[in-house]
Formats: sequence, structure tokens, C-alpha cells
Amino acid sequence: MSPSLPANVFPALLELLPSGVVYYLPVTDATGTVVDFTFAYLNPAAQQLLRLPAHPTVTYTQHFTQADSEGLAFHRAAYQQAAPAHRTGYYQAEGYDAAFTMQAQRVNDALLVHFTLDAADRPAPHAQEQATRQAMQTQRDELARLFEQAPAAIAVYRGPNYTIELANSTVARLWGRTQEQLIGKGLFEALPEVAGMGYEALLDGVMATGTPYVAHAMEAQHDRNGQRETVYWDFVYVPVHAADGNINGAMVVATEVTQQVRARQQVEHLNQELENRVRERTRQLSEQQQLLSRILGQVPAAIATMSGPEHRYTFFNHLYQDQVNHRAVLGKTVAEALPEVVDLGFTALLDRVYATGELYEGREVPFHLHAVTADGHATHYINFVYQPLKDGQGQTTGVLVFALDVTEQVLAQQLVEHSQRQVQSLNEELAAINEELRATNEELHTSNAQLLRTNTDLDTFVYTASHDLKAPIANIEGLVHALQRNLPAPVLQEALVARLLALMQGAVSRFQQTIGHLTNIAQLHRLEAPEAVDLATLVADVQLDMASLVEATGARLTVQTETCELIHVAPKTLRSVLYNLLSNALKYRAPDRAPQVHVRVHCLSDQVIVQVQDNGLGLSEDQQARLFGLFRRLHTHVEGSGVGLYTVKRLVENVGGTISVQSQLDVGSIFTVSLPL
Amino acid sequence: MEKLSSVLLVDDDTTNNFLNELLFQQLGVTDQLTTMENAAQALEWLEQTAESQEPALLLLDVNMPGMSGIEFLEAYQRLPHAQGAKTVILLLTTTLDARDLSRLDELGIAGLVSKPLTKEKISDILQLHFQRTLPA
Repeated sequence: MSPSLPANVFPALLELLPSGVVYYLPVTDATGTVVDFTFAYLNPAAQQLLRLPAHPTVTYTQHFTQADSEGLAFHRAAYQQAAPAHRTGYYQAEGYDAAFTMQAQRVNDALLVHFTLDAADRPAPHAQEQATRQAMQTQRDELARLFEQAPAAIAVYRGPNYTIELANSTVARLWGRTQEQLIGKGLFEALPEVAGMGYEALLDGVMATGTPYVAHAMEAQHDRNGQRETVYWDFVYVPVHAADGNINGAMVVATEVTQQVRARQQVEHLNQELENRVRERTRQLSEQQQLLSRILGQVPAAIATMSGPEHRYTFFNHLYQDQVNHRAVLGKTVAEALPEVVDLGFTALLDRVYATGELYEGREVPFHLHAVTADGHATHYINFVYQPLKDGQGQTTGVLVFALDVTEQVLAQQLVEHSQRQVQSLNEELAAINEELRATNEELHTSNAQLLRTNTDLDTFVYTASHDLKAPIANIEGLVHALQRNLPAPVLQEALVARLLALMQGAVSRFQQTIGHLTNIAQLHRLEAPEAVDLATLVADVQLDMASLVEATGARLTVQTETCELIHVAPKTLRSVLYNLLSNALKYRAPDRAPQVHVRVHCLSDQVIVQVQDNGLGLSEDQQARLFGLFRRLHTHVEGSGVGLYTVKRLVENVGGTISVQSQLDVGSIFTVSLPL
Repeated sequence: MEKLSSVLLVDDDTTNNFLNELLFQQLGVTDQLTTMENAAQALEWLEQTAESQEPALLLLDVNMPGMSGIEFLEAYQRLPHAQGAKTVILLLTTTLDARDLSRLDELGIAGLVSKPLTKEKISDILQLHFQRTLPA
């Protein structure tokens, strides 16, 4: 405080000041909290501005009944802090509607407040003004009603947090809130679900630029009807200006278009689906077409279609082109492309099929091409079908040609026929040869019959001869004996006589032996009936017969009979065969080694095989060839008649068997006999 | 040994007959040996012979020209006095033919003897048919 200024200046100053100064004393409650103030002093300006007397009886709260709570709070705060406090605001009461500025500072235990009111809004409480004010109020109420009842959603946001200053019932309904839940709150505080969806940036833009923002079908989410719903808005953000011309808020006017958007989305979806379906169908058709074209290309037949009465090509595959030497051209007529087919009569056939609508089928039709084709056949043969192509009304519009090249088959067929002719001529030749053979066979039959007769005659001859020779030789023998008995003893003792008699006796004996053999051979033609034979017993019997010879020669005889027990054969034949072969094996033994004879008998399903193997003299090939002849003697060092093997062969062959020999000189022989069972 | 009353030998072979006669004489089988070279002649002779004069033994050859031994036997059986005859008939054969053997019974013969006759065969015949034994 300036010491030069005298103390009585203050009251004068307070009297002169146009702005108001009030000195408040605090009123506290039981807890010491400031709950009100009393007016301790008001300068004249304050008395006038606040329309209070110099010493009012009312308190602060009693006077400022319509003042907001902020007024008391400001004063309380200013009283409780040491520093000066400032406040600006609007004061709308007591006929005032004015902006104010206020400075307050605690002085001692009181609060000193200085304030100014906007002079323009200083109350002029005369009648006309009152009426105007009344009219404005009415207008404002109507506007509020209109705003409230508007079918569009309308709201006003103010300040940096977009505090909802206004929200009509429509917007409250659409947002799923009551107006009370909205007014006075920040937009994104009241509707947290829309935060972060882009609205912040839009509002900031409008606030910053002052340019309204128009949106169509913008998506938002709202918790309403007990769930979170996705909705769509058409809306406009309009900047709201404060009294000073600055933008301090925004108004939104919106209509919900969720149903329209949904409907449009559905339509779009349906459209998309339809498009997809069309695309898929188009793709399928194209695939089918490609497939059909591929199939037609790969069908091993020539295919072409011709349309109209002139038969213009509308389609042909590769094989068709190959068949016509690549002369077919789409759009050309058959007669133009292949002039020769006119003369060959094919176009006439096509005309007929086109005219009558009846199918025509051709088989193995010779088809002469102008140029010789790659495979070298000048003439081709084709099987083909001319099929009329008809439209929906059954009208013939074209002809389908389906042709198979059967040249190879036809040529093959011709070849087969040629071969068949050759086979037939060969058959005829064979038949002729057969005929000749049959004639030869008959001749052989005749010869055979003659030989059989001759054989029988010979047998009969041998029998008769042996029989008839027996008596005379017996007589000679008797005569020699008689002579021997009747000659006187001295004559008998003469050397020459004795020798003559002995020689005669020997000649008679040999004669008789030969006759005996002939008799046996003559009996060989008689067939012996087969009977059941115990093979082991039969072999044992023969072995017994041979025992003395075996012993005398020091031979080792082994017998092996396998797979045979009771067999059905001619017993004497088998016995005779075995006896002869065994005795030969021992008789014709090698002088330098002990004979080893092995007899092996085994049975097959239809024959018995007898094998006699020895380690004897053996036979040369030349000897083997003469072995089975009658009276054939290959060895002279042992007694023999030359009948044994001949007899064996006859016996074996008589019953339909065979005999063979394998032999090596000085090694041994194997005789193999098979007899049928 | 008691000799046989008489023996008839029918054979076309003269040499054989000679040798057989020699044998019978040597063995002293009979004092009455008659030899015939023809079967028909022998049959005729037998027809004219009295029953008491019939031979005790008849040796008959089978193969003979004209009437064979078999034909002889067939005819002999038809003779009236052959029925009760005591003559022992033996067939002389060169071979023992089964066909002949089968006819032994129906031809009414006592047996077969294979040619040539020997001392042993005659001994057997006497033993078998006459129960007599040749002297040693």
C-alpha cells in the first residue's frame, strides 16, 4: 500500500467504483465447514448490481437462490485458499442474463470479492423489453419442443470432450439410453461402445475446419434392446459456434438406415451369389464344351456336322480331317471341299437324309480319295452313319456324319479269306494224300493178312515136321540100340565100330534135341491166359531153380521187386522169360570176374517191367542186332541151342510186350522186358 | 512071370513094328504077338476072332494112313462083342496131345504110351494093367 495515499481514500474509492465489491463473512456448520456467507459490506455499485440494500438481512445462498452450486463452491474455495481466485461465467437470474468476471481473496476471516457484469446485459426492466423477452422465451420453448419431437435424431455436443448438451428423445431411443443417462456426459463416456469406430476423428475434423460432414450408412455399434447391435446411420455433423464466433461444439442430425443397409447388403449378397452361380455355370459349360471337344477329338471315328441343305461344315474332328486329307473347311459345303464325293454319290445320300429326316447307314463302303493317304492305301473302306440333326420342332437342320475307317479290317478280312482258300486247297491236298495212305494201308492189311496166313502155315509146318520127324528118329535110335545089342562082342570092341556107333548115337541125340526145340517153338503161338501171380513167390521159385548154377559160378544175385505184389500176368511166360534171362546172365559170364546179376521188377499202372542186369561178356552193337534170331548162337564156348532169346522174344511179343537190350562189350548187359498188365 | 495070352500091335511103321517085336521077344512078354500095319485089316481080324482068342493087350498107333487109330477105336466100340471085352487098349503117340487125352474115356482106352517103346515102359504097363513084373 502506498504511504503517500491517505487512509480515507479507501471509503471514497469504494463509493466511486463502477464495479461491485462485497465483503463476506463465512457461516460454518457444526463441523466447521463453510456452508454460507453473510453480506458484511456492499459498495454502492454492488448494491445496485445485486439489487441489495447496504446492510442486507439475507445470506449469500438466500440471495442467489438460482445460482449454481459452482458459485458457493468457488467462494468457499477462495476463502479456504490464500491466493486470489478468478471466475468468469453467465449469470441468468433476477432478470439478468449477463456474463460476469469475478476476483476473490480471503482478507482476515472474511472474503473480499470484486465483480463486474456485462454492461449490455445490464437489466433494463421496462415493459417492452419484458414483452420481447417473453416472445423470445416462447420461441425458444417451441424450438425446444420441435427439437424434442423431431423424428430425426438430434444432439448437440459441446467442448473438447463432446459433452452432450442436448439429445432429443429420438436419439435417446436409438442409442438405447434415457435422456438423463446422456445429457451432461461426454459422448464416448455415455456411449463407450462407439468409441474407436472413427467418430472421434470426424468430430475433431468438423470442429477444426468448421466444415459440416455428411455420412451415408456409417456403421456403429450400440448396446440397446439388451444386446450389442450393429446399426447404420445417415448423418450430418454441423459445427456449433459460441457467442464469440469460435466453434465450441457440434450438432448431429441422424437417421438410422440399418434396415435399408441390411436390405441392400442382402441384395448385394444375392447379387454376388447369383454372379458366382452364373460364373460357376459358365465355367461348367465351358468345361463340358472342352470335354466334349476332347472326347470328339479322341473318338476313334471321324465326326462332322453339316448344316442346311447345302451341307456346310459346322464341326469336324481330327480324324475326319485326316480322312479327307485336311480339306474340310468350316462354312464350306461338302461339295466345295471334297468335289469327288459328288460323283461317288455321297452328296446325294446327304440330300436324301436331309430331305427325309431318316438315318442312313453304310457298311464297308469303298472310298477313293483324290490323294493317296499317308498309310498308302489308295482305296479306303468306311462304315458310316448319316444322322439327321433336328431342331425343337423336329425339322431337319443338318446332318451328323459318323464314320469309321475299317480299311484295315476289310483288308485283314480279305487276307483271312485268302488264307482260308489256301487252307482249303491244302485240306484238299491232304485229303488226297489221306486217300493214298488209306489205299496203302489196305494193301498193308492185305499183306499183313497174307503174312499171318504164311506164319500160321509155317507154325503148322513146324509142328507137323517136328511131329513126323520124331517117329523115324526114334526108329533110327532103336535100330542103333538093336544093332548095338546084337553085334558080337569082338565086333563091338573094334575101334572103328565103337566110334561109328557113338557118332550115330550123338547125331540121333542132336536130331532129337532140335526136334524138341522145334516142338516147343511150334507151341509158342498158343496164348497163355493171364492170372493173379504173387511176384515174390514166382521170383523165389526161379531163384531156387537157378540155385545150383548160382552156386557153381560163385555169382552174387540180388533181387529187387518194388511196387509189385499181386500182379495179373501170364505166369508161365513171366517165369520162362525170367529163367531164360537169368540163365543167360550166368552162362555168358566174364571169365575174369565173379558174376553179379541184379534183377529189378517194378510195376507201372499198366505194365510190369523186368530188368536183368549182368556184368558179363556184353554184346557189340552188331551182336545186339542179331541177338533175338532163331537158332542164332553168338557164343560157342558154352552149350546153347540158339532158341532161348528167340523164345523169350516170341513169348513177350505174344502177350503184347516188348524186350530190349542195352549192352557194352566186356562190361555187361541189361535186358529190359515189359509185359502189359 | 506069367506071359500074356496074346498081344496085338497096330502100326503102319514097319521099322517100328520090327523093333517092338524084337523088344517083346527079348523081354518074353508073350508067345502070341500079332502085328498089323493096317487098322482096317486089324478090325476085320478082330471081328473074325473068337472071344476067347481076343488079345490081352492092344497097342495102337494114332497116325496111320487110311483108317487112323481114332477111327479104329470108334469102329471097334460098335463091334457086338467089344462090349464085354477084356482087351486093354493103349494108344501109341509121338506127343502127349491134350486133344487125345480128353478122349480117353469116351474112346474106351486104358491109357497112352509115348513112342518109342522101351523096356521101362513095358515094365510099367505090365505092372499097371496086369499086375505082373518083368524078370530082372
